[in-house]
Amino acid sequence: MNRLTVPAPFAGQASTLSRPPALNTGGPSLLNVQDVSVIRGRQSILSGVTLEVPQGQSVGILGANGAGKTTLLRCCAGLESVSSGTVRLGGHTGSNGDTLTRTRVGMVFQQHQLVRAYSALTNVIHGRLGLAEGWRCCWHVTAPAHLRAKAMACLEQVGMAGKAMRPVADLSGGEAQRVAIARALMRDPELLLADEPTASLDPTARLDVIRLLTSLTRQSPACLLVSIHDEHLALATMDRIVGLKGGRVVLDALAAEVTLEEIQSLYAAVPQDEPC
Amino acid sequence: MLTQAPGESPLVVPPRFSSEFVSRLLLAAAIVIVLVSDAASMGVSPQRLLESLPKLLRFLAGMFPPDFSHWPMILRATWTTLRIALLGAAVGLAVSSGLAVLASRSQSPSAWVCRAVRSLLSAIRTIPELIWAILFVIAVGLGPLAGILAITFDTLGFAGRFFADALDDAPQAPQEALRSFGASRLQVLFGAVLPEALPALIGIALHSLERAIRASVILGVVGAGGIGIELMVAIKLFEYQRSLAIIISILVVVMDVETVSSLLRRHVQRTVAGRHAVS
Repeated sequence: MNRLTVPAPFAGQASTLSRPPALNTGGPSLLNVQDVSVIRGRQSILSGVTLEVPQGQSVGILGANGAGKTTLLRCCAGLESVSSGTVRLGGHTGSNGDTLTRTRVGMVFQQHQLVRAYSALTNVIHGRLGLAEGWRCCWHVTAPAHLRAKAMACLEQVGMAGKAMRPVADLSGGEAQRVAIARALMRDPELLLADEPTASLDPTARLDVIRLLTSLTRQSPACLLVSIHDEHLALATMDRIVGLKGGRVVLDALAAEVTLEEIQSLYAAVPQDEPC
Repeated sequence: MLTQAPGESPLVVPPRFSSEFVSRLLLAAAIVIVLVSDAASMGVSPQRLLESLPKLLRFLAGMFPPDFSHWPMILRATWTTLRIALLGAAVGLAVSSGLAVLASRSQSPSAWVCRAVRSLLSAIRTIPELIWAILFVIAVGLGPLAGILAITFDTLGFAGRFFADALDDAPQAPQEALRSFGASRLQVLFGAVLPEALPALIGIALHSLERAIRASVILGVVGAGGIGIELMVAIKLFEYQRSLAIIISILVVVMDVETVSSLLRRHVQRTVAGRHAVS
């Protein structure tokens, strides 16, 4: 078996990372995905996915395009309904568009999806839209004082407090993604979801963003699910790796125990008759 | 030197004119023939234009030098024209902003409302401002109010449609993000759509203002107030020098407004382009 010694391109940086021992997956789970299937039309997107994630754990979801990574994250966020099975967050069963689920989930998107014309501060305050103070959170000028202070604290957590009033359009890709993470933190999430948050970033920014996400997860009572394509980065930073292929979980192990071959096999061609 | 390998089929040079090109050329020729024969049937001919030339030159010569002796009247009427345009455009833009949200395919509460409001805006747009002015002169009498209402409706038809298109063109990704947080339709509109569409909306509003200024000049001709009525009177009384002075005043106002509008529009575009370049 090919044991992974921190592979390129993050060999240099990753050697300085202190990856904590993975949390016991057998402990009380915060996120409980039980036998979830998603069928759209005649196509099976997810098939019998089961996943339990305890508090504080960072899980890297790997798989080829169309493997079902984004759908799984959207189901966890309550943005997509499941055809069968259940998604439970802290004991509460979510459903499509469920407000209670949405309020407990923070989501970071592939292309940050921030409002470019607005400042970083306003974008972070947008994280409270859909909650009680929703209306006043369209703009930082109208937001309540305690939320402005909270948004600044979130920006401080991601190292962007100094650029709070800069329009997002003036920020680099990595900085914008940090603001997007701060926006997700504004919701005090129990579950932090990130859908390929490093896809449009250079290697240094990728490592920064993923390291930020994992360190924030360890500091908070939340768990993290990241869909990611970079196997080196995932192995260097995540506690646990879940591999999807054709909508099924084919790999679920602590990152320290996963081999490169196992991950590469996730990207091997899926036979035509298999759903993907 | 490139040579053809033995056994390879010879290269086929494509024909100079494809059948598609020839059919398009024939269509263009047919359109030109129809237009020319139609012009001839309406009495438009180069000979007639040449015969009218001396008359036109005499008329133009009679306009010089411009007579600015009535400048207080010209100034007052020009100011009235500007106020008609500004007020009409402001009211039109305000109303069209609301209607644009209903007419926008992505923001309208329902497809039915969207179709209904779009049809209403199309109907308003098909009526020229001069017809609106005649209708409002009949309805509210001679004077600036008829002009303001005519400009309002003209702006409504134009800006309503283009505002709606600008809202539809706003980037979808930030809207999706806010929706995923559970933001309502209006929260998405104010939080993501309007800030992203703002440069386009400002550009459309400035275009509307330019249109309103040009339209407000002509509205006076049908009695809807402003400098147009003074121009009409001067021409009817054969006071061509005075009419030239009025035309010069109109030109100055229209060109000034267009210059300021272009500067503002360019500033907005530069700001947006600068931001996109940085990121």
